[in-house]
Amino acid sequence: MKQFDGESDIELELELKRKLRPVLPPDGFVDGVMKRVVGERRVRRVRTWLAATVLLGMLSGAAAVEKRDYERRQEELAGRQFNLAMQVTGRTLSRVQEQISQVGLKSSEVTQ
Amino acid sequence: MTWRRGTRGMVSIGLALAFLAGTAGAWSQASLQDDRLFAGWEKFAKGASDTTEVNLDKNMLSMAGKSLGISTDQTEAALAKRLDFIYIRDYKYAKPGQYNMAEVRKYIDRLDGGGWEHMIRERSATESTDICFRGGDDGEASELVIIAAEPTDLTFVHMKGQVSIDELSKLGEKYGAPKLKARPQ
Repeated sequence: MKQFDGESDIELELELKRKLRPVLPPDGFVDGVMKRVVGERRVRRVRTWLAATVLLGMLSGAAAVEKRDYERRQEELAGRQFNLAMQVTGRTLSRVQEQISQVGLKSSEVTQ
Repeated sequence: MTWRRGTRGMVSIGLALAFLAGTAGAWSQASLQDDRLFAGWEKFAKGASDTTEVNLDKNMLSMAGKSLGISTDQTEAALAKRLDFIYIRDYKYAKPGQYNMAEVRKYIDRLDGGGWEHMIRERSATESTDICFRGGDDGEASELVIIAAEPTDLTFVHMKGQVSIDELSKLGEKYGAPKLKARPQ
């Protein structure tokens, strides 16, 4: 194992100073770093928009399914309401006809 | 800059969601307009033991046409599509005297004039029946009103669209009504 004395410490310090001296970055280093940063931002932005698009797509799909389901229920309800309307109308006409018969009018005397 | 973009993205998503929610809200509130001719007829529901209400506007009738076209008779589906609206109120009362006949007469009076023609106007001590048509040629009615008042039963029917007496008669027969015949002109 190497023993360090005072002289060795100085050598070590000098060696460290030499190795850790400030050096200028090579040409294009800053541009490279900036490109990389911008590229990462772009990737993050694309990912965000992609996620947002997928989310919106899912929501739109769910809304479309729910809308169709709602419309189907509305159609069935409307159909039942229409049948009910025809029942009430038919029943009322039937009662009217009975009343008319009772008071001695015939159906052919109904005016239009 | 990043947070601004993020905020912008969130705002865009928020706006899109708001749009979706707004669209869904507007679509779910498919409007059912009130019947102006019989505005206020809800008052007869007071004291009624059984109430039947039908509110079908053009949109709902179109839906009914689709539903009926799939499930049952094409004639009914076709009629539903030709109608503009059907409003019906049918009230049944446990005993006589639970609705005000004078109030009913106010609605009947609205059918005097205004282009309404009485097809049937029947009065007795306890009962009253009015069937009126308005507009239309060759038996095609643009609007039909039936007001039938009996001691324990009160019915208002108001429908508009291309419907003939014959058609109503046929539909009535299907639901148990005898055939109505128009007097030859």
